[in-house]
Amino acid sequence: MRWLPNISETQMTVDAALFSGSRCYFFDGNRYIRVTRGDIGPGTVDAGYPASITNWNWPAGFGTNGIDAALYSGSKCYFFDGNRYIRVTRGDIGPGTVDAGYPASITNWNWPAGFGSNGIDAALYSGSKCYFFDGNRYIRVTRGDIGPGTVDAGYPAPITNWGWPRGFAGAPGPTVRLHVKILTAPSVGVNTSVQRMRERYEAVGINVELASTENLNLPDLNDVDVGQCLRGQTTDEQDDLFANRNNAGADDICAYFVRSTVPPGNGCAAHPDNRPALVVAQGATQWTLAHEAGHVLSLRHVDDNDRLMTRNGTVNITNPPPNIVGSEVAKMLASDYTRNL
Amino acid sequence: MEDVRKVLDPDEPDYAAAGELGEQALPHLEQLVRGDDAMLASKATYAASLIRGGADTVETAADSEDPVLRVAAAAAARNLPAERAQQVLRRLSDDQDAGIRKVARASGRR
Repeated sequence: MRWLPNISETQMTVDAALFSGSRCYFFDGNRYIRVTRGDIGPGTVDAGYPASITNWNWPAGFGTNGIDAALYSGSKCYFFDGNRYIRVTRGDIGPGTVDAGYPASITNWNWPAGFGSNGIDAALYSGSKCYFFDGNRYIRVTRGDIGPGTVDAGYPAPITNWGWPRGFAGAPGPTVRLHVKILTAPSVGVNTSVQRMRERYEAVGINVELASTENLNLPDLNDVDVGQCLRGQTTDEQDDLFANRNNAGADDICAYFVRSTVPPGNGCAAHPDNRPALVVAQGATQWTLAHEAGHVLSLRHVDDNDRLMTRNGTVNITNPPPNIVGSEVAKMLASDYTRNL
Repeated sequence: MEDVRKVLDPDEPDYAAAGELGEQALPHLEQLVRGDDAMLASKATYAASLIRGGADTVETAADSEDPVLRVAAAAAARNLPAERAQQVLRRLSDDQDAGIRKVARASGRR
């Protein structure tokens, strides 16, 4: 909005950014802008921009529809498009000259473990180091102006190392992965149940990823025996039900929506040690899924109807949405089933 | 009714506490079984089975059109005196609903 007032913020995307001394370049599809700026702030878009990316005179169809990343490298600049890149000799302004032998294969960078083999998302010049980003991983490279340099030990590493705010650049932060298994849909609806869980958990910084939804035809387990519903103790029927873990990793929580539990209850979070799971009955409230998942994440009942883990029934939550307090958040974050993905 | 709801409202009711409500709770439980809230009705059915004199309330649930209540009745039957349990299970063992038949069979084995 500050640079291009006639374009809404929702339309603005940036494919690549290039530091170039007194100028910066930003690339969006087949267009780019040149900006005069200092170290801080948006600067001013130079007259005549946006302009066509063809002004860069790149060879062999390189970047005609846009580029993925750009890297300032002293006397050189690198531009990345899919599994190819070019090296350009240039000053602060202008397209410069593409060096002989380019475009070249991105494999020339000798990145490890399949990193960037189909392209990268971004590149960052950082003095004696360069950073390259591919999906949810990045590498740090020690290099000079020219050449691939050497990937530092311990890389690729997860992008979560950057500690960016949850949700930024796909950094989910602490996340509970949930797989929904439906024998009987709850009266409040699966979507509502999941949404309420997501709202409560995300309010305290824990992401809820609905990893999969599956319908199960298991009539003999639709009214599942939960015994006394005690932590760490499961019946044969619960064990049989929880054996259905298609698509679920060992630390993913499976939520089974059934017609009823025997004895009757809204739900039960008792599960075997190696199979995080819970059951929600058809007549459960909109908060039951979040409540039972809280038990799976080690939370206990409290005698407070303003809180999600109330022992008095989620039907009696007096001040919705129900609270999750700091000590409970700490327990949830410490759970094996809350992970930085 | 307040004491009854205190026992039945939790997402995971403590049915041991339900058994301690006493016979004075039975009219309230009967009212809940006949009410519109199927979850509460099913919990009330099971609670009634744990109180002396609660068999009639279980039978009310066994006659319900709602399969969730009939499942609860089939489960509750295991807590009734033998003769009353048989009356309930005889009907529910032939129920058109496979889940109800399963729970009735399980109760009959106990």
